[in-house]
Amino acid sequence: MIVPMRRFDLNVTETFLADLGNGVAVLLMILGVGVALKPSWFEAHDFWGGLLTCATFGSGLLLGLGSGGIRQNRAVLDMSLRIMALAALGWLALGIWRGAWLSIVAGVLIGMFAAACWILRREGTRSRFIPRYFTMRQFETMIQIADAMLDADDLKLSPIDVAIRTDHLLAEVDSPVKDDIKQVMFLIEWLTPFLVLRPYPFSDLGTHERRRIIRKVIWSRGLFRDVSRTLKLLSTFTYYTAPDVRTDLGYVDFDDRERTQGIDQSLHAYPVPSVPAEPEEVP
Amino acid sequence: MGSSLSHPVYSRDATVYVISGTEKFETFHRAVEQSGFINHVLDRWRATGKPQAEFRIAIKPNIMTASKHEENSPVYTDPALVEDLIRLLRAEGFSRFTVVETQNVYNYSYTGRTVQAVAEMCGYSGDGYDIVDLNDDTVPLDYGGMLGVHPAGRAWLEADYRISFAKNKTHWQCFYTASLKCVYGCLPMWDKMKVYHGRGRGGRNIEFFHATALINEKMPAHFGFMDAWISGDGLTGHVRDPYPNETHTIFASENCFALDWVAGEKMQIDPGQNYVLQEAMHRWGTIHITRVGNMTPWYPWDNVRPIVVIGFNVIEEFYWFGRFMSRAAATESDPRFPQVGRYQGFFKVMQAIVRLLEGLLTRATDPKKTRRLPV
Repeated sequence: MIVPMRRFDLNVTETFLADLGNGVAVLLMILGVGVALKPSWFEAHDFWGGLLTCATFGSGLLLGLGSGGIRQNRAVLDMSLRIMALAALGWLALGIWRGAWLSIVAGVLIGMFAAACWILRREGTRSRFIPRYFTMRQFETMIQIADAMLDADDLKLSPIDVAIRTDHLLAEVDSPVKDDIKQVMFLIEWLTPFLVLRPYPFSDLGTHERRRIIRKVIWSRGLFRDVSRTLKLLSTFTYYTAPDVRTDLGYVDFDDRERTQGIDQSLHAYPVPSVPAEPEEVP
Repeated sequence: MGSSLSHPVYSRDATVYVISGTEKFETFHRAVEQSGFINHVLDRWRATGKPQAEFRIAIKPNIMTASKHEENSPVYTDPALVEDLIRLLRAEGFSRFTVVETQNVYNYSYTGRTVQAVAEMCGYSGDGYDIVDLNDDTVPLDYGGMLGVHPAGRAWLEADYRISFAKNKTHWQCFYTASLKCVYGCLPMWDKMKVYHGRGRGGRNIEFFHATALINEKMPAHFGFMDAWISGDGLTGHVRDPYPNETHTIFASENCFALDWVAGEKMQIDPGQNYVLQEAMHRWGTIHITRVGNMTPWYPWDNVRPIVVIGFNVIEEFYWFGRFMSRAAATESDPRFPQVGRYQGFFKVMQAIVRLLEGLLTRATDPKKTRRLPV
């Protein structure tokens, strides 16, 4: 058996999550249909019952779609998990309120599956990256920023590599600007999508929409001008300083340049520019 | 999680030799000869410019996972093969050999497990070479990444030529272990669960596969062998296998990354699903591997199910639970290493449960898929 190498292929946790998510999606849809057919079993014969039934079926549909592309459909997967969590709470509340044990069981099971999927989703990302400076969420935002900012077909470095380099750089430097950068990441993730009337997190949007946002940010005034500068700094600096990219651009490191060969590059020791201290008088 | 894709050893395309046979030493000699191992050592020696008598060769076999002596062990590297390798190198004029290891988490369960004592139990004579516990003599080294400045075993660090001589076996944390994970055993702290796994105090947040990649990156093995003469499969293949597999094969390559990849293919596992190799690809990029030998997967062979690997990845975040599971799987030991006294009865029950569950938590390779190429 020969297996091709793929550097950023799905890992074992993500593969498992895809299968689990697909199975749970089917179960949720069956449950939704079951409740619709026999609402009296779940005491779900009114508006709230109908709402929960729709939420259960809908979260199943979304989970099926999300698990069909753990990374590409990440936003759908996240949305389905949130709806599942809400549906679980709803079924529990309804069951306790009306004394329907089947609703309680449904709530507990949906909650358990939502928790399992959430843990796997987190571990799947964590086993790929453990950011040194960013939080996991900020790191994912950084990948999406790099993907949108580096607008070319022949990138020498993947957006993931750019995000890793940025994360490592920020972990190493000691500067008060680092706190500002975290604030900027928050702004980008949660506020800038409103510039294009998208009430969703930046990293959940597609490349085209993210580029639209960036164009808007670049042409904005005031606070957003600083945001655009930070975006440029975060992505292009780490991209163009990567050794492979520099080599590809034709940049030759100083030590490798022809005219530096054979010359003395050792450090020159200058005398310390200070006046010798007066010898202390010993009483 | 690095981005240095130009590691001098692991980022290079490589050939992996998968040599099978019917006689152990003859097969091993063919592996040594076909892989060009001797020339590789000689080239390295000439490059250092040292006198041959000062050229230090360190060999890291699997030793400390041994719990009892077995003539054909599926758990630890065959000492006879390691000593044969030393004999071959001595015939070329080399004289400074060190077999290195460190103590491990078996110390949770058993006492008196020094490297020298376990090596002696396995069958290492120590004749003409040293057996060294890397934790006995360490120097601080900046591993980078999440390990940072951390002790490194001097014998491994300062060796002019390092050889990883792994055992072919399954593992519940990453499907299987091979030559890269064997080098992980050179990290000096015995309580690896505490120091190199999961979250810890002071913001430490490391996984064993990060630690494995970091030590391999800083102190790479120049050559890798894998003893697949007798192999361990199943849920606890890395520590014991009641039904060892007579796979009668020796792996050899100058690139341990490539060797480990092929080891996974032979187990009918996607090697990229192994956390260690996933991290290796992130760090060192993808390479082209030439496979020489029979690539038909092992059969019969039981692999660990993905849910077990994922489960342990989650569990190891909680040190005490990981420690508990480690002890629950340690079912037998040589009488010279008595069990730690506390809660023996309870752990005997746990060990019986683990034995019962083994069949459920493994998946056999499919002989019908042995010739199937990936889509």
